[in-house]
Amino acid sequence: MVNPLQRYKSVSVLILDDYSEFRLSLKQMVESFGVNHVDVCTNAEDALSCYSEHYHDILLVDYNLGDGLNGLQLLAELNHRNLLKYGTNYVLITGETASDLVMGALEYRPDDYLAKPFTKTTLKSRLDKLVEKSLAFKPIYTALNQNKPKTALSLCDQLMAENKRVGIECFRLKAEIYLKQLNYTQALSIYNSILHKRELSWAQMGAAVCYLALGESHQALELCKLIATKNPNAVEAYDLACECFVEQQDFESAYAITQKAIAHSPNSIVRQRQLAMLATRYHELEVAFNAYKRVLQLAKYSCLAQLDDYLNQLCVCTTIQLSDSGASARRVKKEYPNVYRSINKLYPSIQSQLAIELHQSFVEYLADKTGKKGEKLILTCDRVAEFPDPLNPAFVNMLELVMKYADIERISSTLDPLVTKEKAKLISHDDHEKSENFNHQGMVKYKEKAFESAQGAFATALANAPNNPNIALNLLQAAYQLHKQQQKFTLTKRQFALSFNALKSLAPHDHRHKQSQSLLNFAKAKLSG
Amino acid sequence: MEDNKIDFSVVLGASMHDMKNSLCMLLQSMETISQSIEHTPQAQSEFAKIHYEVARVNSNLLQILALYREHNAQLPLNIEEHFLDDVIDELLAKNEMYITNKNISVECEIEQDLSWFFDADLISNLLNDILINALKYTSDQILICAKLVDNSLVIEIHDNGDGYPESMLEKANNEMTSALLSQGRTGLGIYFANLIASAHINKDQKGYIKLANDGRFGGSRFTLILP
Repeated sequence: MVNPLQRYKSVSVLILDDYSEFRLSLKQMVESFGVNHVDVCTNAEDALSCYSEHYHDILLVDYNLGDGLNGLQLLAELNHRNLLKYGTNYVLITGETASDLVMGALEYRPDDYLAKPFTKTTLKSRLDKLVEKSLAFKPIYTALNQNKPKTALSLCDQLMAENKRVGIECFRLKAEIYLKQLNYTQALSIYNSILHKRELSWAQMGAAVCYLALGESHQALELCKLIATKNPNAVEAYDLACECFVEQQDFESAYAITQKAIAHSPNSIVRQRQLAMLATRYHELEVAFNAYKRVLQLAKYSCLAQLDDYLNQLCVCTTIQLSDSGASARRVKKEYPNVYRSINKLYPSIQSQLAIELHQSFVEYLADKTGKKGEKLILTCDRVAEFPDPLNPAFVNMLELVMKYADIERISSTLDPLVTKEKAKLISHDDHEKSENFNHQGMVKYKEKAFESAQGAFATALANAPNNPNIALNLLQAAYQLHKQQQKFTLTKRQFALSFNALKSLAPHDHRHKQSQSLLNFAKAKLSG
Repeated sequence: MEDNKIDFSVVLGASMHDMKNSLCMLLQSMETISQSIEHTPQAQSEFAKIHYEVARVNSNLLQILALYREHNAQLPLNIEEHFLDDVIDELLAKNEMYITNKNISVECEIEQDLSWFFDADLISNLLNDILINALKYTSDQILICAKLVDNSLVIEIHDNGDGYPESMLEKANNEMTSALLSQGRTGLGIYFANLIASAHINKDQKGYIKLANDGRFGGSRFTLILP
């Protein structure tokens, strides 16, 4: 047995709390256990850099850290940056009971929770256990830190056989190793064997991730629902459910559940980005604008932001500017310089420079279409066409926007082949086969005069082919007939927006134009009334 | 406006966070003072009292929040595997000062390597509240047992005090309603214990508690059953 004081001599500890007295008192406590190396930080940013310098053995982190990241987000961030070493013990200190927080921590789970108030004795006994556990797992962690997963897996089996108290922990670690290796079948069988014993939320979550990766999104969705029923605050389950819905091309449900998740927990870049993309799909530009804005604000603390977030925000802003001349347009114009500045600072590359120049000259052209601005825009587009590297998806979106609104033949002929080429590389979310099936189903129901079912089918079809004016007409027609038949109007605002957008491109001489206008007017009157 | 309505549980959470920081500091200061003064029996006993009262305040705070959450259907559980010896050790460590000072003998009967699935925070709070109560009313003996019976975890706390008053036994075992709250502090504790126990559900079976005056030393017996 190691002398208890000796045991802590080589242990390093990082303390993070925004409350100074508590920080100090924690420091005194751990020093009295024999710890020589103690660092203290007051905010997550400092802690990130301090940890990446020393890789402490134990992190004692308060959940509430004032502005910036909270204790759980810091843990996620350490994981995203691939900083967190195996064997580091992350202890989250909370003022409330852990259950309130833990459901947001299914993916990145602290090694222990400590509820305030606690005495030195409690802290000591918890740390003793963590240090003991680290000792038992040390060979496994070493193998993992050396990137030897196979060795780690067999060491897990060995440890489980020797020490039955760490059984579940070993299973859990094994499943995580398989997940990292993208071996979903093996990971799933471990999660299922745990679930057979007990319905633990993290195992359900793990199994759901595997099912989705294996293409069984329905099964994944069932598990997400189970987790969320047990705990309505389990935002990670909502996020995963959203991925399932997207996989199933059910964007309406994906959008709804993302909004719900955001209401519970808005400070996640991935979640806000998802919201922004879905809102853009449904032309809810204000929502998209605010979501991207939040992404860019959160970028200050996270490595998860990308150049595309900035470019997409420029596109959303420009679309708002084009569709509104009032306060919203003025508001978004103010965003441009900030976004340019951030791009220059964070992503200095030829592509990002080119994107900024294109956007600038496009906005100048929009302000004055008569003068020389058009020529400048043409020149910039030529340079984009000559750019040799693949373009970011958000850059391609911007090109589409320019093509659509710059009434210049030369620009269309320059950009069109480029956009087509780049778009072909992206996996399109438009599912034409599914859309056709639902459209067909809608037609059958329409002929049977089952207008409500028809409307539902057309809505799904349109969501899968958002630019198809025929489906939009079908949808509006079904809504109109349903109203005539039953005095019932069930078209949602979102469905209206989708239809409106799909029909916008119809030229006035198109034979469908007149019908589309009267149906749109009817729907608009119903929605506003 | 509806949007501006404050979520009371957030307010409660925030002020609890602050109050708990205070309690933490209080405990810390006491430990520091305790190290720097001469330990007369009287000082010892005063320290034990402060510890005991801090534990009670904390326990109350937790219960209020948990009750409020339950009322609003937002009491989430964090079910994990826990080893009973760990849980009970921590429970005793928390109350060590009071136990030593009052010369109470505490025995434990826990099956070796016994583990079970539950929310450790909520169950520790529950047991702590029951133990605090037992410490207060016992003459000098307490027994804590943990075992598996019919695929459920059974935890018992026995003492050798006068036992629960008749009126409470009746209310606790039959109606288990807010009527218990009229029984004062202990009533609230029992109400809370039942709430936490019944929130633990496994395969359609709910957890529950039992109160009786048939303890092994002739006093009260509190039983918690978790499926």
